Amino acid sequence: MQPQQAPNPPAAMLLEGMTLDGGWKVRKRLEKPLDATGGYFSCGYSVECEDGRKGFLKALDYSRAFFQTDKPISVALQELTESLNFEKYVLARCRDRRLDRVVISIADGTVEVGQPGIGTVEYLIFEFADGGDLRKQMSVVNNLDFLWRLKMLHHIATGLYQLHQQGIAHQDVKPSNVLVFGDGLSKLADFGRAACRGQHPPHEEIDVPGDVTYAPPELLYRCPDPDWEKRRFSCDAYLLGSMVVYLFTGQAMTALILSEMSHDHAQWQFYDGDFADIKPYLVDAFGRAIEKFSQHLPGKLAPHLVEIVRQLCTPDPERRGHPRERVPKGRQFSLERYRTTFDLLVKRAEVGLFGPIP
Amino acid sequence: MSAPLDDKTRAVLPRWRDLGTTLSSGELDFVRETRVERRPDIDFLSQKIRDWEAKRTVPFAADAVGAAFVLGRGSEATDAAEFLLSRSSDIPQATLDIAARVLIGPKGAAENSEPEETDVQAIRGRIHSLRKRLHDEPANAFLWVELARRYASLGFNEQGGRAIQIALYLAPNNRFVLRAAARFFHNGGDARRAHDALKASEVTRRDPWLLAAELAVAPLAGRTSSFVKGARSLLAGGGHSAFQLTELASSLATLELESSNTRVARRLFRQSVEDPNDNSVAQARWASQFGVIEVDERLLETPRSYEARSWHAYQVGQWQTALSEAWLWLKDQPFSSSPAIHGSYTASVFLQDHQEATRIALAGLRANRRDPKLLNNLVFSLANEGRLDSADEFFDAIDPSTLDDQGQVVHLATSGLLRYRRGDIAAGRGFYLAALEKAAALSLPALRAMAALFFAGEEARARSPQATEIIRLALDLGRNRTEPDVRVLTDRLKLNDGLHGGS
Repeated sequence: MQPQQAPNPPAAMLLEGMTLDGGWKVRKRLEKPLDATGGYFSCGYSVECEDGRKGFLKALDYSRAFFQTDKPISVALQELTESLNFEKYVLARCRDRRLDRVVISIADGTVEVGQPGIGTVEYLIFEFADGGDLRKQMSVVNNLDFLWRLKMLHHIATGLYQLHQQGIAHQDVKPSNVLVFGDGLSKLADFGRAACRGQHPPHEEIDVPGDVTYAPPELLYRCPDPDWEKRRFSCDAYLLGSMVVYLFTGQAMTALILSEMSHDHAQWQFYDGDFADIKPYLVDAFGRAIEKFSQHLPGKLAPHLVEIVRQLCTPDPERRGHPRERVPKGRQFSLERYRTTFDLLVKRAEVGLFGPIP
Repeated sequence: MSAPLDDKTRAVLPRWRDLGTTLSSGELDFVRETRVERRPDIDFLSQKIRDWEAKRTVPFAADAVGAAFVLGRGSEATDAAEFLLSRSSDIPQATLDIAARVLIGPKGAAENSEPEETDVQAIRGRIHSLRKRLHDEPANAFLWVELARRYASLGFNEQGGRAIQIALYLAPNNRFVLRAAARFFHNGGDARRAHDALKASEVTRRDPWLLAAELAVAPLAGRTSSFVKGARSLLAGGGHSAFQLTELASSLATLELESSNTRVARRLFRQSVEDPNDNSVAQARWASQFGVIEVDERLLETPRSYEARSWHAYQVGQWQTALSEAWLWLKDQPFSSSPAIHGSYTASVFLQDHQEATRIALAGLRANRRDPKLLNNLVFSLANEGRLDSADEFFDAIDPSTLDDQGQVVHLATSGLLRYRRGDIAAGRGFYLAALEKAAALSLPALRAMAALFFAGEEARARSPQATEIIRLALDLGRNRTEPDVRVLTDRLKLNDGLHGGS
């Protein structure tokens, strides 16, 4: 009887200590285990360049294609490749257009690790966010620091606005995808589940492309608008509103809405009806969720934020967006007004209009 | 004389309660023949739980708890939820609420809670707050329904009608809206409109709760339901829970009973109480008088079965319970005249508590200012309290053209009562005799007996020379009758032997 050999670890997990093209030295593999964080399976490393720059490396694990049981290996491999190429395309576009509120890649390439089987690892290197993600920042920020929260919202709104201008919808805006940098800037990260006008990545047909626990109700209840623009950009509008809710309550709007519904109606996993059937319950629960949200806001700031969330998170996508943008064709989900509103609120907060600055 | 609530006919009209109560009853749950679970392509929760375990700070715990809640996998985030609840002082309430939900599961159903307060000020306050919310949420169909219900509770049917119309426009196929609309229109005396609303909806033919309402309303609108066949096959289909079908079985059973298909009616009534709600229990209680079903005490424990419990107590002679349940029934369905008619009759006739009868009649009149039976019962109790001017005032408010056969007899008798109490014995006697004559002509023997018993009471009270003769007549007419009210008045008359009178 032959002794059983331990399975080889995926090649993507063996990059520690390697030096990559451009002089990037791979340091420590990050705590987060190999997992699906975007459109494909990957793991992360901290990297450092010879010139002192720091970065975050995302290594693609092709070996996972062999363990996917729901599709042939060739299809799985093709999808992984297409997903990576799509993300590279989006990142290149963001870089070319000099978008400054999204995390762009600063290098990419492939490396051989000498592993039997698939020994080639494709990677992307991103700017390093020394502040971590929004969740980490929330752990250290004073509960009463409204200025910081408004700044974050302004950055997120600007990032989304910049993406929309390029025909890109992020679709997965959530605290772990908002990275904070040393200078206090925050940027949107992870385009693994983005959508881009004219492109057809493998995740295009998935009901909920992003994190389902943050998803807008029409996607959660499997009733997306057939119109590409509406479906994609209304999702981002909702997610921006949900970030407002998150920054003041610690919860996503989706959780708040579902918490106000009956147990039966909140079971979106089993829903097989039309959106019109669930919509009245969502609209009603949303009203109560807004009421709950408003209780967490400081008096003078409350009317502004409540109105913004009401417009962005309404469960009825037909009514979503700024009322003045609903009539001009194609501008219903424009985030321009919200970007400027958050900017204005930041300025007001800076002079203490919403209370003392901690 | 006081007018009893008609117990010979009853339809399974939808109950109309506030949204929270209706939701907790399970009546608005989705009707699913199959349950297929859809799982996300990525296990987001496991990632968040790993993050939480690595960082162990509030935002990571909140993220994991929120995700577990949305995904319905609360048991996987109990550690994070407990962590949040143990540090509640600096954590937003919204997060704490969700952490609590993750630990204790779905909100407990408030089925056994008492109905909300029907005090006028409380209702006005609720209207005010609903209008305020509607300013911000004009597209919330349920708020319009809630507003209509409060308006209907105060008798503002025009405003209520507008609110219901808006709700129907916003959610034309929603079960809660349609059943409320049907109830509203029926209550306003427009059963055809109630039927139109139900029939117009594309979902009625496949929704057991709407079908039940349609089957109940169609005959009241003078129409024949075109959904009977579909309703039968839906009942027989076996794809729905017994609870989802309770009202449909009850409605269909009622139609079969009215068509004298006793055997089928019996089977359907039995099906209707397999997992009943208060409405199907009330219908079963009503049907029990025709021998097609027996209602045991256990069924009466069904939450909010105020109507059934009030009638049951009435039938077994527990008048105080009948009255207190009628009060709860009225609080539960404040736009309906039935509970107040039943309560005022019970209070006056059985308990001789005319103050209480006045109170419940007045409460019922808030929503139904022109209801002739309620006005009549109020007049009766006021007259017995000695408040004759008020009694006359309300008596004048009765529109004789709205009276049915029974109402005409009662109206004549009450005219007689008022004359007696004013001391005009001859005129009073004339009205009572006219009432007896009318009841005889309309073949209403029980009502005739009741009118005679009240008449005899007045004669005795007035110590009239004809009292003995009228008492004998009343006792003759009441002999061998089994109705509880006839029995009680007969016994009372015998006991008093015409010496003390009193109605």
